[in-house]
Amino acid sequence: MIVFQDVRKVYGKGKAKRVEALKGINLHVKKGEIFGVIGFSGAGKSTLLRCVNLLERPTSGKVIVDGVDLLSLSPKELRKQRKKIGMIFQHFNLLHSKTVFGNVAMPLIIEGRPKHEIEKKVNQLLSFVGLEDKANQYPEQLSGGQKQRVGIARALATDPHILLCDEATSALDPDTTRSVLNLLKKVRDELGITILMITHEMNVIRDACDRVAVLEDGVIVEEDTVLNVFTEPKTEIARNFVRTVLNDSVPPTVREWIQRSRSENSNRRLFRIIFKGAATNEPLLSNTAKRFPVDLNILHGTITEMQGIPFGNLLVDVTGDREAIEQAVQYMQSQEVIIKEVADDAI
Amino acid sequence: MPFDWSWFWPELWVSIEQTLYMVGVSLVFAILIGIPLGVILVVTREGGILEQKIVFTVLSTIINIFRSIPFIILVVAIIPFTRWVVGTATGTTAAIVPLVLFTAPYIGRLVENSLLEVDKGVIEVAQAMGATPWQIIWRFLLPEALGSIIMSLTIATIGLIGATAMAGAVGAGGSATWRSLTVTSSFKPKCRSSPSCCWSFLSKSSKPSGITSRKSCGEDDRTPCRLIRRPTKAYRVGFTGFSVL
Repeated sequence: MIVFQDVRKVYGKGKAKRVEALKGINLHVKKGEIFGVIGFSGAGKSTLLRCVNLLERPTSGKVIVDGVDLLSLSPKELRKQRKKIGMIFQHFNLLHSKTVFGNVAMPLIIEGRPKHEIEKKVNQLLSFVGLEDKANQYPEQLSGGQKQRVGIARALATDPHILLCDEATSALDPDTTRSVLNLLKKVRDELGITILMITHEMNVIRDACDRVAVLEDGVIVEEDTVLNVFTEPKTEIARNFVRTVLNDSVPPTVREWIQRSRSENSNRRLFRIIFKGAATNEPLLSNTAKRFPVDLNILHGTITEMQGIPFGNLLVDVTGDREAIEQAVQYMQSQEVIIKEVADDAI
Repeated sequence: MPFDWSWFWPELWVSIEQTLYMVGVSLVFAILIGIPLGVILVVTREGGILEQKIVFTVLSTIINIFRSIPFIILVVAIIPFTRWVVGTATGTTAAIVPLVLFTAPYIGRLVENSLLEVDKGVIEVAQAMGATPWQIIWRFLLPEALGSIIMSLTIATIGLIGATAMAGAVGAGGSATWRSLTVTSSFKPKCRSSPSCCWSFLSKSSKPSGITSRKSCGEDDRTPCRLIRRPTKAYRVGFTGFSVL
């Protein structure tokens, strides 16, 4: 649906002012998926998103949306293509001089649709986003979440195939964020619209996305399904992002205790056990303790759910003689869990 | 000598009428020129939706030049142009030409400011919707800046009224001329505040021709616009001197 081929964007001219915002992005967003791009501010997320509808023109590379190479289009053809790409913004960008109805009607007015058609479509959209009673209010009278709903309704007015979300929930509180994300999922499920969102909040990725790309300094450093990135982040930056949602850092008092007891007893080793899906239903630790002469002590852990799949992350202290520990670990590995030994300083 | 009130009220009425006429007509023309000017400045500037560096630089320079000429000098300087446009360089209608040339660039700048205040995000939305540049201006920029533009126009109108006072230099009449004449020739005020100082200056420099022609006028002809029938050479020199002051 959206294909990026070696997309580069350079701002400024001359060596001193030259800023490379995108350094060769290759990306493939499939039809009907919610794809998230996460990165810190300045990573190039906004530029990346704006390259999809050419609000920013890439310096080189190809942007293919819906099978059309956008960079080859004339301004007129580009405007036509843009109507198939809806966009919502962090600060909503609603017209203050227009009512909610007027805002949602804007793309249709621009298209020159007849009045009765506009009225029908706008009312339909407003009821889709749950704002049918606010049609005659002005944006100032709405809350942040309601404004974003108006933004979504407006973006959907031209029946786009793609919806671009530019930090759409970053200005909203957690509750409102959740309801807006649910609305976006509804947009995907009921209208089959492909969604590309950029954000710096990992919980947005967790709650809404199917796949995620981690952008760092203009480069995609990691790209995978959300579940895989959460369970096995490959890069440090991805790990840090995961940590903002799933706190796997050990509290200082526990850490002190671990370090003290390890120096006293060399027969203990620390493991991080990550399990997902069906594995969470098995009494894994209990089984291990029964089968092998080892003691298991859970020091820290979180269990959460992602896209309906339960997912756990435990820090376990295993005590026993060397061989028993080895066997216990091997047994656990055979049970479809990820088990990694944790070094002292990496706790 | 007792003050003669018989001509006072009719002249006041006539001069108010003249001021309203000058302000009204000039404002309409100035808006018709100024708003498009402001729009062009905004869309052609760097990063604008129709970036045209040359157009922007040329227009901006012209506006700066016009804006920096004191109105009274502008009035005198464009006399040939005024004569070409309305057929005469004096009188109320003739004053409209410099008034428009003075106010339009001012409105242009004010409108430019108003339009620049419009959130960049709104333009981004419009572009993302696939709006044409014309639609962006007409449907997004202007409606969003409307409140601010109206405020700007109020400011410009005040400036315009101020300028009509100086338009008295070409015999435009109006309330300011009326005031200057009544004040200086009859009331003999002390120069306490700067505006009345200004007016006194103005009327002093216009006295030679102004007063003479008034004396030569009949009782019925005593309308301020007739006070100065022909700007004599001395009169022009007087004004240039005044502006230099």
